[in-house]
Amino acid sequence: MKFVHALQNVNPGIDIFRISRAIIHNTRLESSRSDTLATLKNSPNAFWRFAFGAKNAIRYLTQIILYFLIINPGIVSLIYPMQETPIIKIENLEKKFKVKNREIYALRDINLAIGKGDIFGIIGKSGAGKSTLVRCINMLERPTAGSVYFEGRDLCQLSQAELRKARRSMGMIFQQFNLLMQRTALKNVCFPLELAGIEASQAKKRACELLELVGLENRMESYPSQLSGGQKQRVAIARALATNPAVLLCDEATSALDPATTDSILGLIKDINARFGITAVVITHEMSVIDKICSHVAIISKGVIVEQGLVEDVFFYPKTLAAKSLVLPEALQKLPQENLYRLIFNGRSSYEPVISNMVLHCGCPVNIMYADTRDINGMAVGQMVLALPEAPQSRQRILDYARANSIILEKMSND
Amino acid sequence: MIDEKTLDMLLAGTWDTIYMTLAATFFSYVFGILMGVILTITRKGGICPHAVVYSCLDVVVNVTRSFPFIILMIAVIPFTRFLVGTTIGNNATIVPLVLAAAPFVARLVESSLLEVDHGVVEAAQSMGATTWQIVSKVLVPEALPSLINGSAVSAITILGYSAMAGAVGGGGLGKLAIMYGYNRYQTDIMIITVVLLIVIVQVFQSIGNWATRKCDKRGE
Repeated sequence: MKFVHALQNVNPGIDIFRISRAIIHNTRLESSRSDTLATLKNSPNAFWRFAFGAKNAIRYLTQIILYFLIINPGIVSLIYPMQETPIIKIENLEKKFKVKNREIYALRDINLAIGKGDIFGIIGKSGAGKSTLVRCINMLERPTAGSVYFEGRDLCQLSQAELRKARRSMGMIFQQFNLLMQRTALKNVCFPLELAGIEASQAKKRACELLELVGLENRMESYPSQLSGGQKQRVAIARALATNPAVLLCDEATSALDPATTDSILGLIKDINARFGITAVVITHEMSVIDKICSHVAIISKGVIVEQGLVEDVFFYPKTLAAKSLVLPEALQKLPQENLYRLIFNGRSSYEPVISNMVLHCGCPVNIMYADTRDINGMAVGQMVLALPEAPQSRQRILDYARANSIILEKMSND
Repeated sequence: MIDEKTLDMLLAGTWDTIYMTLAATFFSYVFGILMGVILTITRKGGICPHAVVYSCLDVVVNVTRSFPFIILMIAVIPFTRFLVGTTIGNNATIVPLVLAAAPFVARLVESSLLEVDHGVVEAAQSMGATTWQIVSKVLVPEALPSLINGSAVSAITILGYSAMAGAVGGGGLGKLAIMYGYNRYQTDIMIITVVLLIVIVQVFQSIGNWATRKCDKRGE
């Protein structure tokens, strides 16, 4: 029993844990049976004592095996890593262009694993290579080295026909929408189905459903030129979903839209992700897009991925300069950094007057250089940049107070 | 001023000109679209780049286009005879007209197809479209207004060429203008044929404009 509990302690936090405990308790707390077992345990007869021991051993063993196989398959997948493979896996990808006898690396040494159902953000400045990267995922750009695995198959190795088939499992939307201007909204959504050789009446039915899904049921017969930017992107999303893809690639999908429309399109992408479990790869240069919908983020700079992880982690603890400049305004990094500390508010500390308490308790003032609040995946998190007092004792007092009250207060640095 | 015989002659000439122009435009488009599409897709950065095919076709088109039409017409006489059985008359004129116009049409088609936004082609590729599907469902339909506009331009150019055919035994208004207006100093016939040609050009251009507007869904 101790062993099982020990396992539980190693693995806290998930619902599965509660289920496992319930199962274990059920088997343990049958009182009449445990009475019998108690008598057996204390029986002077050596055979019964042995039988009791064996029975218990088997029970514990069964529970342990059950725990591994059913209750916590996560551990099993650690042992057998072939399970739970990511839907997209990029290995050592490289893309170089030849320009006037010179080779320019657009992408270098890219390694990414995108899990099924994730909304994976790739953020970088223009020219960082993010659009090239997303085009390498569906082979619109051929990587010059490395592999792109999609559902376990290396897309670089596929024949043209196989690649076309694989592409039907990956929808893509673009900054400029890229709708067919000579077709109505309905015919645009029918287009990928036509390409796949689906019968016209069936295609039309599916296209109608999709246009309803994106909220354009009254604009089916409109041409793209008669639609607003947001509506065009909705048609493009419906079109990308027509062939039931497993992945939706979004290349700067909201960069041509105003803020309100951006929010509604992001909401739609998130909704689609939640309802159909479609993995989304979101290319953007705006941190707000990442905050709003992404679960994971990779930061790309000059063709290299400099940092990646959960959005919260990158926000709370940005390591590289590229990440820091996404999280904090660049002007801040030009200030002298010796006294600057970054304070992060998450759920708990949002409700407390943290700064006031700290100042009152330590008896020395702080200067607030910057503050903002963000909505990361529906969780309000804030950050503040403080200039602490120059005097080492006062500064130490504040740092000690922060540590004692588990306030995340860390020194800013410029590297 | 104009007797019935002259009127009949002018009407027949007009008809011949329209017939030659339309037939030659049709056949030039049959070859021109094919060549234009090949030029578009095989060029560098096209959807199926092929340097050899592109440069060969490019040279052929350029060479054919640099021939003065009157020289080309004479140069292809054996070919015309082989194809039509004669070297005079309307049908015989259509052969050199098509040969001269097809490369011109190819360039027009190429430039129309190149106007299609590359992003739309990329979108089609991302949906798993084959090269043929991109040509038939994206490039040509999306470029249709521009193609129609180009066809009016081609028809008018061919009309101009067909007038020259009069010099080597072709029919139509061109022949009338040369035979009566030029050789026999009948200025009135000359003026009438020119006016008729102007009217035909106007009509072609108006039809072209109307059809372009009609099929263009890109908005006002």
